[in-house]
Amino acid sequence: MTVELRAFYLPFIFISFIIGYQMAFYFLYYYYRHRERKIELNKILLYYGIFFGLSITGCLFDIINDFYITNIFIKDIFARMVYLLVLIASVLILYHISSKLYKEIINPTLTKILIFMNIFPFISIFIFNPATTEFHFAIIFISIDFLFFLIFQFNLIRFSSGKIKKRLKLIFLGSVISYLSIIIGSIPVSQLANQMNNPIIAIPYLTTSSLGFIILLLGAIKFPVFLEFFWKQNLISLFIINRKTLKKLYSYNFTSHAKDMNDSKKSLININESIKLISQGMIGIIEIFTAVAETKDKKIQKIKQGGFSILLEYGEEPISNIFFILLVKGEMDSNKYFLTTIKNQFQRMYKHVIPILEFLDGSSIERIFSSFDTIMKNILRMN
Amino acid sequence: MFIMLSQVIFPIQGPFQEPLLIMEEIVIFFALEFGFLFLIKYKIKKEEISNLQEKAFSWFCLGYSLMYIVYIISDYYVEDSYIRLILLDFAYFIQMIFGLLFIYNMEKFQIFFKKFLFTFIFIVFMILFVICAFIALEFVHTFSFFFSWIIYIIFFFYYMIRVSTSKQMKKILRNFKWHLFQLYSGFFFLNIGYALTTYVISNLFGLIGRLIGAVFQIIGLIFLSLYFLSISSITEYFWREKIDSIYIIMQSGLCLYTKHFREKRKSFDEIVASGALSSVQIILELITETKDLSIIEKEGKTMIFQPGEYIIGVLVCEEDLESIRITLKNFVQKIEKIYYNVLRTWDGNLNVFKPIEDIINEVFI
Repeated sequence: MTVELRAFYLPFIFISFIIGYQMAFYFLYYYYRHRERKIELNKILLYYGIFFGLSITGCLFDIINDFYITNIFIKDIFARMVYLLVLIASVLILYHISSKLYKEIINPTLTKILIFMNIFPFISIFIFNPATTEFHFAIIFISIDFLFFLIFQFNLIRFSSGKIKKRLKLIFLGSVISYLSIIIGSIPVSQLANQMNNPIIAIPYLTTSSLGFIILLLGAIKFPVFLEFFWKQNLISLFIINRKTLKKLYSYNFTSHAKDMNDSKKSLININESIKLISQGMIGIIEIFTAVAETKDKKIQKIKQGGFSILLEYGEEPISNIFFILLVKGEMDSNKYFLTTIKNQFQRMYKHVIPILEFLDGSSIERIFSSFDTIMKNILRMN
Repeated sequence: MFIMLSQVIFPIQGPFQEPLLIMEEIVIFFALEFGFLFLIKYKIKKEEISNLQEKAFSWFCLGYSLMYIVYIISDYYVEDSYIRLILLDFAYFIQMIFGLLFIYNMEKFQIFFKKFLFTFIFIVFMILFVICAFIALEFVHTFSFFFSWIIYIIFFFYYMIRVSTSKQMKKILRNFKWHLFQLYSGFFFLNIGYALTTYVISNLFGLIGRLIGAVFQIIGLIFLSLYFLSISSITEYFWREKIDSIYIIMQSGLCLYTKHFREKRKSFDEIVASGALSSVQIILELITETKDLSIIEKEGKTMIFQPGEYIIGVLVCEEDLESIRITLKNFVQKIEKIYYNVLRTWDGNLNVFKPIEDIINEVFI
């Protein structure tokens, strides 16, 4: 054979790293893209990006150290950097998991204890010599952190639905395979530089790392907005109203299919039946508020009443006379995002129809807008 | 030193072997990745016009990566020079097949000089390539480089000139110069990079030239992919000038809407026309026993019928392009989506269809 195993191994491992960096980039990119929606759960994309980015950089340092560095002093620095980067990645992701957002998924106290325990490996990588066995003591903690992160990911899948669930499943599968590659590669990799004729280790290591990163990349591409858990359970009803005529263009009752509807929701449904009250009442509130607060150029976005919220969105030209009302229980950022999505879809579909509404009779209007039901069902499928 | 570097001996060995393999396998990876990315994009959004060019570019990338795989096997792993020659010719043949698919798909989207002109030229050269392979195997390499690559270059040049001189695109696109930069630099880097990896130039500049060539190809592929990814908003404007008029008619033959994009002919009864058009569609459906897209071609004019559940969209245009077909299908689907419940129980009120004018303006103008 004219090519050594090293020349076969290295291109593939660098390609794996390129895939890994692409995946980390996608997470960060989608975080920045969804950032303006101000949905707290989206931060997970930022932490995923940082976690995978730092971990891959750690692995890259390990490869550079094993294959290209001969100076003992620089080798020591690189060995410490490998552990340092992976530990920082683990602690950062654990820090994010410990937030209140995930208290239903994983025990935050346990997570905090785990973060605290990571102080020991941090100290060990600075005080021990990389040539000693004690130096590799950090592996135990890193393994526990990774295992904990896997449990978190598994629970996250259980609590999610829709498109995001599929993506999380891919990320979980990719993570499991990537960890497997680390297990295969971690101990023998450092020896591979000297034992290049060892395809039994090199081939499974390359296969698992590439496959793991490819699956992770597939999970990261077009990652949707991460809406809060159970956000759909809060929805009560939606009204799309023509401000000029005070007439309803479209309405949707989210509770009609709910199995365990409580009394407070039921009482609101009775109110919902009176569309006129809703539309005229809302316009009245908007007018009063605008006059009292002297805020003609600003619009009311939210009204809270007891445990309920009324979210408002306004159409843009040419449908600026249309406004969207969403009745929800409690308060969630995801509900606002949901209403904005409805507004955008409605605008896209009916922007040419709205300007001629005055020429149409009531039954024609009702028939035109009833087609929006299909779109509504599609929107409801997200997450 | 220069002389030493210039002596390229196959299979490639020595200090350049490892960095070259790394860079060239990265070229394969990027070409494969972009190829699959564009192919998946095409499969997901099959009914969009821009996808024809994305599909074309996916073939280009896939062919490029396959060619490179065979290229690497022959240059690094094969010691017998005759087998190496056969493998190299096989690599060029693969690239020619995928190149043909690329040009064919590009020409499906728009016409360059004459319909499928480049596809035809490419097929002729492919036949000559095969004949050459049987007669003189040692010349196949030169033949492929000087002919098929030259067709590619002419095709790309023509395409680039067309894109850069399009006034409409200049007007519509904000980042027009940036898109042009992506296209030009992608073309430049890919071609220079490819040239540097060829046997003739490798012998002049040595393996360092080949290494630089691999880096150039990676840059070129990234730029071209960025261009084709962002092109979706640009591509729609090529076919718009080809459309004459559009008719939206009920299955019963009643005309819902008509629009003439050019000067309207006198003494032409639209009500009669729509009835006649509907009859044509019914006859075609009866003959073929299918309710699908129908195309009637006459020299210089084409009529495309797109039946929906309740309506038929008829486009009169200069040429039958797939981009026009897709647009018409999307348009009919959009109208039926908005007016689904109205069309189902239509009472003859035409006022309700007034917004079609704006929808047509949005889709076709």
